[in-house]
Amino acid sequence: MNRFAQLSAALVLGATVLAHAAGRDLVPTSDAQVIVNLPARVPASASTPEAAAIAARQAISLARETADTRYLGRAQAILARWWDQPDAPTELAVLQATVLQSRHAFDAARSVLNQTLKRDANHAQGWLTLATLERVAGNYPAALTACSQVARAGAVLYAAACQLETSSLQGRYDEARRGLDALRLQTPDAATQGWLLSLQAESEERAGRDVQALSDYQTSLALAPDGYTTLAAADLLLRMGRADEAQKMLAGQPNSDAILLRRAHAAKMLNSPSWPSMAKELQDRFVALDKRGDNPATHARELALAHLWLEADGTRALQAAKLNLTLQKEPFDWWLAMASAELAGQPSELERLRQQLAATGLRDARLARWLTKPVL
Amino acid sequence: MKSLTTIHFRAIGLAFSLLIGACSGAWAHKASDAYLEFVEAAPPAAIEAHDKANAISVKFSIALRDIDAAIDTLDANNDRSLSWGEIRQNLPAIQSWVEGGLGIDCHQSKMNLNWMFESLEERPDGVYARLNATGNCPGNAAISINYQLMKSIDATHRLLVSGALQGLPIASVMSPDVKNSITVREAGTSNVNSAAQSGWSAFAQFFPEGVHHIATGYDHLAFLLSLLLPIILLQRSKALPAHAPARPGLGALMRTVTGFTIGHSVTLALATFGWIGSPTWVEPAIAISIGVSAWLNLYPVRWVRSDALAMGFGLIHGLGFSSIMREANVSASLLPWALAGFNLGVEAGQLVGVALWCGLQLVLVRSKWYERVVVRGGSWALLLLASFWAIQRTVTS
Repeated sequence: MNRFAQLSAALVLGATVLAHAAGRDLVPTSDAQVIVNLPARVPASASTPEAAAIAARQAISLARETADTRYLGRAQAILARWWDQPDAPTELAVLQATVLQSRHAFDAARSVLNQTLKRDANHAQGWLTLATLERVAGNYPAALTACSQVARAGAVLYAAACQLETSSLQGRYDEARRGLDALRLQTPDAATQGWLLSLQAESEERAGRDVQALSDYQTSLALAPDGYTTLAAADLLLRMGRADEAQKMLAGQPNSDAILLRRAHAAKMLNSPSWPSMAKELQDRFVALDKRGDNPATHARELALAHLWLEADGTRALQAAKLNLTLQKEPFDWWLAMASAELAGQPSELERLRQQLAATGLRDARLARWLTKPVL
Repeated sequence: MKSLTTIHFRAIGLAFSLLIGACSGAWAHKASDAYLEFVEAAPPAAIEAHDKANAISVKFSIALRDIDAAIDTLDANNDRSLSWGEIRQNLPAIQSWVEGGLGIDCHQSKMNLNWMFESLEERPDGVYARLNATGNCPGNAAISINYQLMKSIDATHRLLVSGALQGLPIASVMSPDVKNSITVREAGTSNVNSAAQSGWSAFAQFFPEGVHHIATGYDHLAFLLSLLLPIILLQRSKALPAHAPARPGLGALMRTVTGFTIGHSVTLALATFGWIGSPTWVEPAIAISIGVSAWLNLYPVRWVRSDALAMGFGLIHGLGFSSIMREANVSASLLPWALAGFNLGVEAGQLVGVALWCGLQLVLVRSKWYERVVVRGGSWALLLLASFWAIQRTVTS
């Protein structure tokens, strides 16, 4: 067997040399050739808290528009002087929490907010962010408490929307629908109406009223185009088997991991020859993320979806989906874990997930087929 | 109750536009990374061995988006559309910026590296500029890296260090704000830091994975069994013909196992490093390979040699193993170690299986019905099993 050892060693050594060739060379043909389009410039530093708040918000918005997380790092650099400082102005501490939340560091974001809001309870945005974090963690009673603090800080409309969204997660869909309708009638501006409609669409999806949900998503997008709502609407279309419409919905969106994943899924559903190359690109991105040494849980949702949709590998999908559930527990995350457990043929895992889900009090029609026992 | 100030209202406006997107994973893109690679190019033969040990050659890649944040003049006309002409005119500025922020120390003093632009390169997250530099550092002097680029511009920027020094791999992640200095080689020794250690730990981690994979990979074991069934280790008759080799079946057995090992090792390595994919037909093809091999036991074809068959089908089985390695997402510099551990684990598990079979055969081979029941019956059973797997895997793939 010595020959094998030698062969393996030779193979491994040969591979090492070539394994680092990561980038593909780009040779420009003329000075006029445009190599890259750069996003708007954001000030790299700020001397006053007010200027820092403005610059950090710009950087966060840029991260959101371009789906490029590097701008969250820039926002953190702008906030550096106040980052993790116990006496940071409330505004900047809340922005720190927003950066952390955007980076899926939910626990850290929650702890920053809890400390800050203990000092200064009169910050509506802080409470609103906290409510979102509690909802993501599946702590609906805590989310409702935070929503009521939003009202106390004076942002009545946001407080009501916060409370209605949480109620809907607990299964009070009709109450949410009536409440959101009423709020929309009180709101003159299109952006806020669009946002309220996107909440309503999500609530309708949880209620199992997919047609109404799709129509609400479409109206919402017509009033206020938004990446998150587009993604949610595309997911609904994919779930309804309308892959070609989902593809159209996603056209023009930045090619983030989440969008690329949906594009590949739609292409696969339509038997388009382009899906394997999309799946490969996604795989390359996962590898790049891993090399960086970031917390693997932060991209476990996309990893699980890739296993589930593109590879139909239930076992690996379940593994990633369970890791993802340690980070976030939105309805979609439960669906992902349970669909993976089902594909993997692991009824015991499904039962365990069912019990965990019951403990949160979440109600969602998409999960109903796995809930043989009524959840009370 | 205190009413909201203007800034609060603006903040809420921001909140609602950010909050709803924040948990969607819509920006799971990775943050800003730059790459530093230690290259061990084979120097011309004319250079003495002494100089070879002293030469340091590095490549550095950084995103144009990051250079833009650091060098205001990059987008000279400020139209946010970056042309090659604008980049070309800024090459001296880029080179001196890298010179100032990325230092490699030899013996605690900064080496004189002459950073030169090499090429633009496309990576999954955008276009990068790649620079290279060479320097000299005596074989026994400490080498360390200091990294300050993007400091105070991007708090999550990282430098991923890879490559090898004196044949030993280097793997590290640096941060300009938190971990901006690392020692890659200690003074007075040729010890390259940390990586060799973690290389072995990657090996140790993946060896049992390999054993586990083969022990639970019934299809691979079934294939091996189908190849080994007709090989008789010892003749029943004690009186061997004079011209027969001393141990008639052992050579064939070793050649066959060797062939299978070579075949699957090659494709496992190729697929692990991403040079070839693992298409969906692999799983059904593995089942078919068992069926073909069992069929040939029942109806032998003279010119088909079992070792060649083992090697050819081994190529397909290697693709089957590779999914584990690709999923494992091991960092590139540790991948060879992990692969070596996994592959040798597979071989070890395989050898245990072969040894068990040999022992069993030595007992069974004495019976008169060995050929009829074990070889032919076993082959028919494997053929049936393979057909079942082939159908099942075609339907579900």
